[in-house]
Amino acid sequence: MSANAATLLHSTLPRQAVPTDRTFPDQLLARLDHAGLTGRGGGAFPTAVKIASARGRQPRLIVNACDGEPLVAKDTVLLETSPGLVLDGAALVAQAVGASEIVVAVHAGTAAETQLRALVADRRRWRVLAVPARYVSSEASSLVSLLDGGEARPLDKEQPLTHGRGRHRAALVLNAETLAQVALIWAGHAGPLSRLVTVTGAVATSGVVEADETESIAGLITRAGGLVDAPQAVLIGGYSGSWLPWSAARYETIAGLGRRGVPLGAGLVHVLGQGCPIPVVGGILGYLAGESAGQCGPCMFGLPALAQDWNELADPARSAAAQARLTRRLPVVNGRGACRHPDGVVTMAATALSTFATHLVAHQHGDCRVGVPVLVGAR
Amino acid sequence: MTDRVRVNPIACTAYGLCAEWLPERIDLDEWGYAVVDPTPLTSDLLGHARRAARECPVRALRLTQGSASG
Repeated sequence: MSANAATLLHSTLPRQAVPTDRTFPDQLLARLDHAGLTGRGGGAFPTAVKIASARGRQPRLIVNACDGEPLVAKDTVLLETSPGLVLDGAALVAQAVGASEIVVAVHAGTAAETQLRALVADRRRWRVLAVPARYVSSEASSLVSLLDGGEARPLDKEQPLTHGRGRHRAALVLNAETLAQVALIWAGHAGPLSRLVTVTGAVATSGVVEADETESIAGLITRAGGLVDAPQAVLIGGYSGSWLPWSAARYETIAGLGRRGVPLGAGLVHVLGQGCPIPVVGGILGYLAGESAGQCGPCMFGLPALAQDWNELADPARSAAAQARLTRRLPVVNGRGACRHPDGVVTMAATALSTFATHLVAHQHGDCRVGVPVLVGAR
Repeated sequence: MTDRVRVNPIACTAYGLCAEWLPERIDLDEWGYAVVDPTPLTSDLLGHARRAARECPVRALRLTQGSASG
């Protein structure tokens, strides 16, 4: 996509002044509501509703630019190519809610941290929060915990963060891409909202592309240089996302997938080429189990159990029993953590079970004859 | 006004006493952690629910009003 004033990446939009008149907050919320903007960090909650719930509470505004999903790079690329858009969006929202300060959260030790420290150095009430590069560290309540001097681990979800929780003052946590959209919408951009999608796996050029929600999976792959292997499945959203068979995903659009209950989440489209999917899914499950904050029992014990069950699927002697255990354990683990980490793991594992169902039967007959594919881009 | 029991999953350390006091709403998973049924408490269960909350050694169980979440 070529750069123009209405794009997120390589934005040429001039920096915007922040209105200070009393009608501004209502005007901004009305425009965001009309545009239908939802959170781009993965939760897809209506942005106007979230901002409205923080009004009158003098919240801290936290800009989440962590790219917590391992394969996703959209917030980093957004900050590299259009930092002004993110800062303008944050300044507009901060004004609308009367924020006490603006905190930009980035993974510690990254180029983005250095860049942001320079960007906000001469801005009063702005600061950078360096976040440990762990999976659940950039979850919204983890950021609040870290900001308030605790560890970057999720808080119990008794009340919305925008209302404050116990010793934690009110906080409004918004994703960097969400705030860039706020800046575009306030500047008058009225077209369909675009999405930043990180396309990885069996494609020629892994990277971040900007697309309308009418774009298909096939179209996204074309823009990432096309396929380099015959695909068997696609992982949509993130490691906590959903697997779909290639035949089911190929000509679906972003919007169409959303209507089918497969949200774009943090914006990942990962294409799995040929090879046995069991070690790929097992690798992701093992990673996610290791990234549990270790606070909630169902996550602390449940995720390693799920990962072990999954790996046993490969063994013909244990495969059928492992699949039965997985099917029983997945709903038990779902929804039982303080944060959504275990829920995402359950979604990924459950969709893997259905997507690779035929292959799993082959394993029960000792009949897997394909090699192990490489999860391109995994770290 | 409806009362439900809610467990704070961070606080819960799998003592399991709650499931003894309120088996009508609380089950334990295979690791011993409370699995809570969010169905509103009927009046005959309120006393047991309060006792279950009081007996929790780590105060992980609470009675909440009105909300089905958590």
